[in-house]
Amino acid sequence: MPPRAKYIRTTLLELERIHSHLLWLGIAGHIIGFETVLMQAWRIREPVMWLCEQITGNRKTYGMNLIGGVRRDITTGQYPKIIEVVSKIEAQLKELINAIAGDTTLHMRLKNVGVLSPSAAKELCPVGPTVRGSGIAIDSRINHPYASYLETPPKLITKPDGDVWARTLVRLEETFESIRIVKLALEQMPSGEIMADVKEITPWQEGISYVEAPRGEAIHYVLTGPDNRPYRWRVRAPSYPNLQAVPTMLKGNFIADAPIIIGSIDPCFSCTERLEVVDTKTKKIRVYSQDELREMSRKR
Amino acid sequence: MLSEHELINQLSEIFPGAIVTTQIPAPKTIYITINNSFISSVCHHLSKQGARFVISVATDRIKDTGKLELSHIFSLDDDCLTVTVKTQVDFSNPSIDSISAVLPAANWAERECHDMMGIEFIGHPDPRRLTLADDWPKDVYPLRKDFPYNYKPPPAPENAVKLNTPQPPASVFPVGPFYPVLEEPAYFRVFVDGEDIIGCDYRGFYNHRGIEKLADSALTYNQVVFLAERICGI
Amino acid sequence: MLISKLKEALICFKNLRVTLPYPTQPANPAEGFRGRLEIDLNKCIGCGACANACPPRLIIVTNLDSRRTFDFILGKCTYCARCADVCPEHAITMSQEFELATADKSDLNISVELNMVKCQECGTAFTTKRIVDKLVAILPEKIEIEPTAIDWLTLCPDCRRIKEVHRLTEVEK
Repeated sequence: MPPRAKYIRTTLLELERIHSHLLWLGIAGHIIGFETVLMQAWRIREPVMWLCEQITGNRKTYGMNLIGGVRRDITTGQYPKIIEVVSKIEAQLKELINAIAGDTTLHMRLKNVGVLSPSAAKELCPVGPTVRGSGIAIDSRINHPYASYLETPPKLITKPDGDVWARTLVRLEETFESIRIVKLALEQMPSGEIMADVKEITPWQEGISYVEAPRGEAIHYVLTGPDNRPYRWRVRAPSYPNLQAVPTMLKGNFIADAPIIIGSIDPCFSCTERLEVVDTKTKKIRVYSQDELREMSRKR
Repeated sequence: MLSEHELINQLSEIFPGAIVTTQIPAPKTIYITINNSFISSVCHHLSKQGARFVISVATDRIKDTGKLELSHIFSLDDDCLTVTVKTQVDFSNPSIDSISAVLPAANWAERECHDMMGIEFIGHPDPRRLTLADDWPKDVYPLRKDFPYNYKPPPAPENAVKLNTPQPPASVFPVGPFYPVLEEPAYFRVFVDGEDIIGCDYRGFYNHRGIEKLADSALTYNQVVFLAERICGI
Repeated sequence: MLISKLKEALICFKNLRVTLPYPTQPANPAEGFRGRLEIDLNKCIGCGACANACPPRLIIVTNLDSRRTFDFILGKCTYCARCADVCPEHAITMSQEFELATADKSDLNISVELNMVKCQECGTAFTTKRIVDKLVAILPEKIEIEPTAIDWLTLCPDCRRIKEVHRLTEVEK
């Protein structure tokens, strides 16, 4: 793969990380009932979606990668716009973090909640910010470098406490790191081709590749087949091992903390539905509406 | 930093007779085929050395070797190595020792290999169905090559997964199956005592779309790239 | 604590409303946006490259009665633009349209029909007329022969093979 394609992939991967972490910040705020964080985080995130639309043609499904390189080039004319957008996001995110860092309601909801001890983490092997928040230093960009990460390595950010607050801080600091890498990648971007000439792919070859997605390490295993098609493709998304760690994280916490603990591993999100509480003693079923749940969370 | 050959030598010394073949097709990537009886001890050894369990892959290699292949992939993060421990399993007797008892991280991976490919894991602590739907018939393994990708077997709801129930006075607090705040339907069966959570059981994979089967059966490499992009929209 | 709340309030007041007034005002996507698929029917030569490349495999090619039909089932389209990438004639473009809600999915479908050419020897329709015309136009220059010498263009691949075998065995004699 030509070097320019690697740098373009890195730039887009980091832009995706920025948008994903800001989305998570908003959702986390929404789960605990702190709507201001949701609104402001998503407002800050919006320019990067527009930027990606300009670069790739779509806000989320970039469709840039092909076997051998990337489809579209990031022209030098686009660099100033990219740098402008990420710099603005950096400034606004700093402002937001400054405002909410001292907020004691957030501390009460997020500190010492959903603790994942390092020993449990070593046993269950979760990945991404979930495990970096427990002090374990693993990151596919550093352990199994791909794209241009040998030339533009990120700083590995870990926090020792293992609670939801630690994971939040890891994600926020990673966002700033991503902004730094985007600027660095654009600075160092080599010129040249963006697509290698790929001929027929040899059959019965195995390949493993790691990508550090915003949620953690995603791995792809491919066994090539005889008719220029894959014979076996195995994908493991980062939420797979992270979800296995959830029961351990839930133990010993209050019910009202269950949504934010599950949310702290950053599974894929949408909006709230209702939930049923079955009281086995009185055999009564009570359905809590979204507002009631949120009130329950806020009262705590 | 441990090199590929150093690791292989280490394993052959500690487990004589275990290794059948080794391959190093690319830097930092090792594939070791071992005899089935050694699978639990080799994987446990790797884990004690600091290897992180990544995933297991079950491949139906009826077209070239005629056997089912089970690969456990480990990552030695500090040494930047990927080690894949492979074993071959016969179709006539597709069973092998489970590594989940010594490696809790492999729990789901083995359950999925059982659901999709029909490999029995002897000694698995929780051999319930994981990824297949509640009404999927037993003994029908979708990822095998003789199963067409667009075939829907008749429903068999008697195979529904039985979820755990806690001992009283604890009660069940079901969060799901349409989970509040998660995109996917997911069912966290939380066990509570008063307001404290004491345990949890999970039923997921309601959104299992069979993309691996589709890629194996009908797509070219460049098409798989676009399919992979649409696994998740966030 | 109070200071945090004040700072948060300040951020909110600084930014007020950020929602765009869509749909009362149009929201134009960026240039290069991958919207609805459009085909220039004059340019399509019927090669089928788009059908091979499409990841959701929504382009169905049918050869029947000397007509080749391409049915684009655009309800399945993922707007990846691979078809536009691989089309050798640049007949497919992705427009800026994204307002595609409809009560009937077949509203989006496009069908392209092209006439096919029959093999001079065996009579099977094997390719489209436009492909043959294009080859007649560009090949003589590319392979440096007389335009009339490419009569094998109107033979199907099987008959071409048979003819070539005859030619080689004749040469050997």
